[in-house]
Amino acid sequence: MTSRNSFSNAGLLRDGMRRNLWAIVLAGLSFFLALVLPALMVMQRALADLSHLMPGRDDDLIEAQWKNALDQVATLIGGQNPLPKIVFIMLAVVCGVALFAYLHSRQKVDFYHSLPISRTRLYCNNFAVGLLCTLPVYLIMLGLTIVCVYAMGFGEAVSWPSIGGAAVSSLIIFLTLYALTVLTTVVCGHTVITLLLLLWVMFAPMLTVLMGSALCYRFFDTYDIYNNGLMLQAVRLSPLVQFFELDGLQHTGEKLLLVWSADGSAVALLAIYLAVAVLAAVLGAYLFRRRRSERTGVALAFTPVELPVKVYICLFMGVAFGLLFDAASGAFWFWPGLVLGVVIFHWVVEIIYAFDFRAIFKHPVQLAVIVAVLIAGMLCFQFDVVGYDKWIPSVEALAAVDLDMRDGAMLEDPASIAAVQRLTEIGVAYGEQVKQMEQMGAVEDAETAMDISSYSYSYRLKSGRVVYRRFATPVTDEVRALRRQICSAEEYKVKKWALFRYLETYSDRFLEVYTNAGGYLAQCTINDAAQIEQIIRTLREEALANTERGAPVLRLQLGKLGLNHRQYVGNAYVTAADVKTLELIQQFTSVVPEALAADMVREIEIAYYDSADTQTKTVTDQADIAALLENGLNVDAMELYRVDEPEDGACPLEELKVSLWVRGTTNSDTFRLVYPEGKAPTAVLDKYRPDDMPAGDVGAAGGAEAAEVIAVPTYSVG
Amino acid sequence: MITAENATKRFGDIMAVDHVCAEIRDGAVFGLIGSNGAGKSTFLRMMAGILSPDEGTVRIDGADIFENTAAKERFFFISDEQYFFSNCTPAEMKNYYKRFYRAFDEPRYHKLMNGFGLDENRKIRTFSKGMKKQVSVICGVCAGTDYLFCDETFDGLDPVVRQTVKSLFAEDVDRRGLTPVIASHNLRELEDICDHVGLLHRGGILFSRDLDEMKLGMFKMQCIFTDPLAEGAWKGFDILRLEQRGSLYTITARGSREALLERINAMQPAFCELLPLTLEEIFISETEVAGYDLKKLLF
Repeated sequence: MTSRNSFSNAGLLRDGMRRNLWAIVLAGLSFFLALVLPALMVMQRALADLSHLMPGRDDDLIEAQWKNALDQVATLIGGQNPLPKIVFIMLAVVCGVALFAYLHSRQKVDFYHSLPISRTRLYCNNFAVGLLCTLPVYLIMLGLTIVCVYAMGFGEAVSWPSIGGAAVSSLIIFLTLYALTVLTTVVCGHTVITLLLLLWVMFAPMLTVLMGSALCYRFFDTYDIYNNGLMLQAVRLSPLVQFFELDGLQHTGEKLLLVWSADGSAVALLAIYLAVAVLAAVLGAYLFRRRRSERTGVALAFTPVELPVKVYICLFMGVAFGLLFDAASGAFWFWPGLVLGVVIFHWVVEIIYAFDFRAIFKHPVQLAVIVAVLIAGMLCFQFDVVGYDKWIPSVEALAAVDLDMRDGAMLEDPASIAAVQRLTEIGVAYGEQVKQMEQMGAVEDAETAMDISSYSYSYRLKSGRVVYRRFATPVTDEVRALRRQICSAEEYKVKKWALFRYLETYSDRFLEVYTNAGGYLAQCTINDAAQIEQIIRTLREEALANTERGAPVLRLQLGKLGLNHRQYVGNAYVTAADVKTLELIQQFTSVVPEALAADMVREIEIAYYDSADTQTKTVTDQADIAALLENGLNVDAMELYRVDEPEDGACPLEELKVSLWVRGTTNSDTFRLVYPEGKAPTAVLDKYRPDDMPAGDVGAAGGAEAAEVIAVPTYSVG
Repeated sequence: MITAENATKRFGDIMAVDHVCAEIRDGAVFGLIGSNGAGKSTFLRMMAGILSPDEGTVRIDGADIFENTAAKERFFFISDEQYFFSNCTPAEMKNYYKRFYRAFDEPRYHKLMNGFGLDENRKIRTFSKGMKKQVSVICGVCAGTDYLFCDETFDGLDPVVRQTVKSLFAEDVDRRGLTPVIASHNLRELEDICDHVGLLHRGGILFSRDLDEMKLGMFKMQCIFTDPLAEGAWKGFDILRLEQRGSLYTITARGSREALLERINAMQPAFCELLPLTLEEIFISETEVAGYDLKKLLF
C-alpha cells in the first residue's frame, strides 16, 4: 500500500534542523575557530608587522613579509589548513552518531517507528539533516573568511581554484566519513559499541594492510616493505588519514604523487571516495529498513555479522600481538603472542556481545578453530608455501621492469628486462645460499667476505600485475655492469630523468642555475618560457648524444608554479660536453661554470675511518688543497647524494666521502666534496693517511671503508 | 478491524508472543490483559508497526501494518515510556504530530490542555510522570486516528485524571468510533471501560471475549451445606476454583446464572449466594487454569 502522508519533506527537514540546532551551533563555532579567527589573526599580525617597516628603506623586507603573509592567508583558506579538516571529521562522527543513535534506545525507537512515515523516508530525512547542519555552515564561514580577507586588503591571497578544490575535497571526505558513521550506527545496537566499531571502520582496513605488510616482511626475505606500494594503498583505505594528505584536489604526499598521476591530481581518489560515500549511504538505508526494532541495546543489530566481526578482530589482534611479542622479545615469542591475542580478543568480543563477563566461556569451539586457522596460516608463511622468496619471472612474462620504484614509467626495453631478470636470478640464488649457510651457522663469515647491497626491483607482468622484490645481492662486477647497462639505456634516460619529464605543459616553468663553486644559492633564475624550452630541448639532444655522462659543471633545478607555491620537478645536469646548452645559458644569463678554486678555501679536513676508528687530518698546504679541489664536486650545490647510480643523469661517483666546510662570516656554510668515478686524488689522500689506517681503502670502489675529507675555506661563497 | 493471525515474536530463545490470534472490532474498547512478561507490550508494538512478526500477520482492515504508512496513519501509539524531544514543549510536540496526523484536532488539543491545567509552553522535562502521560494522552486523542494503542497508560495518573481520561476515551468511542486498545495488568482500571478483553499468558492468548459475556458466563458462588457433601458432588460443574472452609464453599464456575443456580439448589444448600466476578478474579481463575498460580510459588 502506498503512503497517503501529506507532510512535506522540507517541513520535516526544518523540524529536524530545529531539533538539532546544537549541531548547527557546534559547526558554526568550530568553523569560526578553524577558518575565520585564524585568518583574522594572521592578517592583523601581518598588518601590524608591516606597519613597523618604512617604505623606501625596507622595500625588500616589506615585499618579503607581504608575500609571506599572503602565503599564510592562502594556506588558511586553501586546502592545506588542517583545522577545518579536524572540524569536518568531528562533525561527521558527532552528527552521524547523534542523528541515528535513537536506534539504540527502545523508547525512541517506539516513538519514531510508530509514526506514519516510512523508514526510508525517515533515514533520508535524518541523513539530510546531518548534512544541512554542517555543509551550509561551512560554506557560510568560508564565505565570511573570504570577505574578511578582501576587507583587510589580502585579496591577492584568494585563489578561487584552490578554495574551490579545498571545498570540494572537504565535502567529499566529509560525506564519506559521515556515511560510514551512519552505517556503523545503524549496524550497532549500542552507542558505545558504535564508537568502538567506528574506530575500527576508520582505521582497520588501513591497519590490516599494514599488518599484512609487516607479516610478509617478517617471513619473506625478498619482501620489499618500502617500495611495494602497500603503504600507499593502506593510507588510501582510510579517508580520515588521507584527508590530511590532500591539498584541495591535489596530493601533497610525494609518494602518492607517484602512484596516482604525474601531476599529483587527487580527482580519481576523490571520485572513489564519493562512490564509497554513496555506497555506504545506500547500504545504510537498506540496513535501516531491514533493522529489527527489538535490537536496541545489543552490541550489533544484525546477528549474522557477529561471527565475521569477531573472527576479523581475533585474527587481526592475534597477528598484532604476535608481531608485538616478536619485536619485544624475539622470534620465539611470536607464537605465544599469536595465541594470546586471539584468546584475549575472543573473550573481549564475547563479553561485549553478551554484556556479561561470564560470556568468556562461550563458543570455545569457535575460539579453537580461529587459533588453529591462524597458526596454520602463519606456518604457511613460515615455510614459504607459495614460494615467495624463490619467485623468478621469465623474460617472456615480463612487460616492464624498474629499479627501486623510481619516478616515471617502467622500462620496457628488452635489454633492461633481461638485465633485471638476471639480477633477480642472482638475488634469489644468493638468498638460497644464505639460507643454506644459516643452517650451517656460517652466514656471518660469508657476509663479511663480500660486499653486499640491497636492491629493489619492480616487475610489471604481461597480465598487468605489478610485483615488487628486494634482494640482498653481492655487488659483483656482473651486478654492477647490469645495473649500469640499465641506467645508461636511452629509454631509462627518457623515462627517468627529470630533464625528460619536465613537460612543456607545466604552468609557469622556471629554471634555477647552480654552479659547483656557487654554493647553495642559485646563480640565476630563468623564467622566460621560450628560453627554458630552448635550453631543455638542446640539453635533451646533447644528453642523448653524449652517452657517457661526465662530471656536471652546472645544475639546473627544474621548477613550476603550483597553486600557491613553487614546486620542484627535479634536476638536470649540464656537463662540459654539452657545449650548445652551456652557450645558450651563457647567452641568456651570462652564467658560466665555475669550478672550486684553492683561493676560496682556507683548509681541508680529511676524516679517515674504518669500521673501528676515525682519524682526521687537516690540509693547509695550498698545493694539496688545489689537488683535492681539482676534480671535486660540491655535494650540496650539485645535489649529488647517490654514489653508485646518481639520479637525473649525474655521473657515477667515487665511493669516497668528502666534505668541504665553507666557513664564511657567519661560519655556517659548509659542504662536502665528492669525486667523479676514477677522479679521486688518491695520491694526496694517501699522503695524509694515518699510518694505522690500511692503505687502499680510499678510492677502492665498493670498499667498506672510506675517507671523509673536510675542507675549510677562507671566506663564504654566497 | 485489527486482526492478528498466528502472530509470533521471538527475542532470541524467548517466545514473547506465541501464535496469537485475535480480532479487535472497531468502535469498542479493547483491553489487553495479562501477567508480567505475557507479551502485551510486544503484541501492542507489533500492532503499532514497530516490530515485524516473525510468523503470522497483524493487519488493519486486511493491510499489513509493518512499514505501511497508510495503515500507521490510522493509529496513535502511546508507549509505556513515551518519548519527548529533549527540551521541547507540549506545543512543539503537537506541531510535530500535526505533520503526520492530518486529522489532528488542534482546537480540542488547546481545550484539553487547558482543561487538564497543563502549560503548553513549559518544557516537558519539567513535568511530572503523570503530567507527561497526560500530554501523551491528549496528543493521542487529538490525533484523530481510528485506533489508539495505550501501553500501561493509566500508570502514574491520579484517580481524577484516570476517570477523566476514561471519559475522554468513551466520548471518542461514542462520537467518532475510536477504538482504544489498552494494555495493562491493572485490571480494575480496565474493568469499567473495556468492552472486550484479550487475555495473554506466556506469549499465547487464552481468550478474547466481550467483558459482559465473560462476566455472564462465569460466576462465584458462596454456599453453606449443613451436611457434608459426598465425594463427586461437584461433578458436572465446570469449576475453575473451589475453596472450602468448614461448611462454607466458595466456587468459581463457568455457566449461565440460571443453570448454575438450578444445579446448586438441587444440592439443597442452607445458604447460597451468587456473586458477580471482578475482572481480576476472572484473570486469576483463567491463568490458574493455565498453570499460573502464584500462591503455589509463595506458599
